[in-house]
Amino acid sequence: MNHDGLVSTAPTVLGELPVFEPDIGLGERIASAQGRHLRQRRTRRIAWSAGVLACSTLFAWLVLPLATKEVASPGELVEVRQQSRQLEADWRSVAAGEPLLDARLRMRLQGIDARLQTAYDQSAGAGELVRLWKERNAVMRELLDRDRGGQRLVSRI
Amino acid sequence: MQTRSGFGSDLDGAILRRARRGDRTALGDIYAQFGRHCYTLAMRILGETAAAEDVVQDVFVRLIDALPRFRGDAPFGAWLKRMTVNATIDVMRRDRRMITLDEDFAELGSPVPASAAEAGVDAWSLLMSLPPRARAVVVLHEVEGYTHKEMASLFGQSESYSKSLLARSLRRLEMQAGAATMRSDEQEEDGHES
Repeated sequence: MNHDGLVSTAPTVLGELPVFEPDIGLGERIASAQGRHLRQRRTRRIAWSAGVLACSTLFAWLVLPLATKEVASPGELVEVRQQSRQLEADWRSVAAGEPLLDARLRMRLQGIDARLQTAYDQSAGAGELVRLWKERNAVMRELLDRDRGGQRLVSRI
Repeated sequence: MQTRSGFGSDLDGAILRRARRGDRTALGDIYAQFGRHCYTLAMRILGETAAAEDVVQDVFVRLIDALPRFRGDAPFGAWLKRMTVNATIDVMRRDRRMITLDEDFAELGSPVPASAAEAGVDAWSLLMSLPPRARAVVVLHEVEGYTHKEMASLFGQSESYSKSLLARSLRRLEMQAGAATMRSDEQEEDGHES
């Protein structure tokens, strides 16, 4: 045999090297070891998946709220509260002191007010307060539009 | 030289696919096809049944995780042979079978012991008379077709070291085989005279 340019003078007896038959029990031992290895691998994979799931859940619970936290300036909060006061004043003048009859809007307003109260109690950030005030202002506008529409309807009659 | 150890054959694609999924029957089929070749290779280098069995078991367990990395560029047997050789060399390192380089050459340069000559021109006895690393170089180059570059990388030595060790090992084998033949001839002549 000649590899890499080396002229080999290997004794021809190397051609008579015996071929060895492994012990019959070796195959069984290997099959058993492979079974153990496959089971361990499966367990590791399940543990890994569970770990990934736990980390994802923890990430979603801890980090995502921070990342998605609404950011707002104190000036913006002052602005939405002023809008709210203005809407309240407009509505009082339009409704002329008549009680709010729309149960759906009343419930929505009560819900938002409760959430606002909780937010203030928990010293929530400006972002969350602005979002709630904007939500409240939207309901107030809806209420105002409805009452204005009613007035127009009455005047036409 | 008819000494190739049977790693040349390829593996059935269906068996390979099933083995990759961890199918134990397919893994058993691979062992049935190649187990003997792996064992023979490990035996020829290590010379011990228990150590060779450990190598084969190690290779066939590691195979489960290694199979997804088999790209099929070379025949499966050649790939498995490489795994077996690496595992065998690992055992040599772990068990400190590899003596220092100087000791390799010193041992190869010493006179052929009379006991070795008396052992007869038996390929196995001749091979086993070599120091472990010299034996590995002879088997890998002369039987398994490894290049000196590959062996140099395997043993972490230079190519010239590999060439020198092989040349000395083969010379040693020839001397030993010659001594055994002369001994055998003398015995035959003595038999005729008496």
